[in-house]
Amino acid sequence: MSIKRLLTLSLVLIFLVGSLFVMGCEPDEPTVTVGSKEFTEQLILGQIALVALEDAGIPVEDETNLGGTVVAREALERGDIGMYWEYTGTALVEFMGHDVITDPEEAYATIAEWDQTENDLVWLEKTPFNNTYTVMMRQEDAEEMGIETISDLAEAINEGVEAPEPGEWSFATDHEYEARDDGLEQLQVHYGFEFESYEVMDLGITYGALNDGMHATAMGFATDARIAEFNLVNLVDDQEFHPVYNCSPVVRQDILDEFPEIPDILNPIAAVLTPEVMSSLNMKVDLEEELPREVAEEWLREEGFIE
Amino acid sequence: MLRTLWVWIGIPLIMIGIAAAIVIYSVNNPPDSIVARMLTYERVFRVIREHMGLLLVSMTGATIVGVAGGIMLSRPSLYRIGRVMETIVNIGQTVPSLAVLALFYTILGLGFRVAVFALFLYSILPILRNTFAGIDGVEHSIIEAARGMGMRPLRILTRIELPIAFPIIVAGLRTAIVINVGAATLATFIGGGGLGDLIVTGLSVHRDMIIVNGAVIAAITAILLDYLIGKAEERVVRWS
Repeated sequence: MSIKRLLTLSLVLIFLVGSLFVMGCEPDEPTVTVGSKEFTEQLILGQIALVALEDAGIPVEDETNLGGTVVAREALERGDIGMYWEYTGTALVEFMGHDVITDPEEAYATIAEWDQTENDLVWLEKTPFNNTYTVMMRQEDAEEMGIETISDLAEAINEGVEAPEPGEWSFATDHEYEARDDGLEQLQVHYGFEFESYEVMDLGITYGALNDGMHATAMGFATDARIAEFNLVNLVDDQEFHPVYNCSPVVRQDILDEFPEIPDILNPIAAVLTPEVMSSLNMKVDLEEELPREVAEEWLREEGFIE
Repeated sequence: MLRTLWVWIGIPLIMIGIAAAIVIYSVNNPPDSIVARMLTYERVFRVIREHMGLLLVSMTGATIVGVAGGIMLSRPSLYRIGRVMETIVNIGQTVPSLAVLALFYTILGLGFRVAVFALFLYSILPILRNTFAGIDGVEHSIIEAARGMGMRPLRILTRIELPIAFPIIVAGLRTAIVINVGAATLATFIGGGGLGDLIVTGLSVHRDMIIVNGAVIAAITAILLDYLIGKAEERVVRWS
């Protein structure tokens, strides 16, 4: 037998044995594989689901940190993962090709119905937090002036209420929010007011610019860790101007058939994930450098969801 | 005469014309509402004005400090420090301009003035280095000869060293200006405005037309200023 043949034969053997080995590793029992996208909030939400399901005795597998939206969604559709947390607004526009919806309930109902009938995917209960554009103020200013909503802010500006530091009603915005059709300009038209001035800067520093008193108000994303860190508040978008991005666990129907108790486990958890809670969980990972898993366990225990 | 007119007026006008044509076309043919809102004459003029402001203030300061510093460091009493400074300046130049801006944002905060200050510091480097190297490179024998003729140090500086070093100093200026035009587009990250407003906005909303406008105006500004300084230098050299 020539060396070449021997080599070929051994390669084939290795391949066969290897594939047997891999096949042997396939889990026999049904498992819930939890995926997630790659950013902090998604990692935490993924771990919350994993810890809660595991605690309820459901076999789970951790496939969090998959990548971007498309990767996670395709993995879910193929069945590589059984569930992951998705945002209503993202799914509406990117998967369904629907127009933006600014009413949380309507957005949720629309995407949930479509995914159920078209793709056999079930949207469990959505979170109260809505990771969308937000208009922020410093907490002490907002409390002192009694401003809770964007309408309150518009009223204060229109009535000529004296602005907090730096002494005028200025606004810190990033480039995209200034340019978007549903951004700064329309916000002012919609609520009927005008900022005295605004400054365009990188998204990452609007929170700091507000905190340091360089601007009276700023835009950002509603669950960002720095909102909790700097004691900022999200003004309520009471006239529903911004598109909505509430988050829901999206689960495959076949997984739900196998484990019908999943909604009862995850729904009560989603229901208490307010923007303040999510922002402070994000802060623990982003700024205090705890692991997403530790943060998830700690919070679930505090809230009494697990022992 | 005709040639002078062409060099000083014709070529610059052609360059400005190219930029103007692109701006006029874009403002009048916006593909959608976002581009229409972000590309108006008013806005384009505003960012150009801001950009020129960043450029002029920082470059004027940097030229004065850079040339004066370079001369001082080349004096025999400070020469040793000069060599050390040259190394420090070379190291400083390797720090990316974005990092310089970010650093000054954390120390001084937001806005136009902080951006000007960062650009000023960043532009000093090539000017200072070239001034020092230019004077340092003057043949020793020439200075010896001047001294032998009874020239005082100040006269040696103004009549011998600076004229000989002049092309190198101007080369430093040109480098600084070209770097500065590019670096000034980063001022937008810390609220400094300028042409970067267009470029970064275009990037964040995926509208190439907005990016192209900002980038073309910035590029033409750099080329034009470099060209004009080069021509002015030729003039001065021929004239003296």
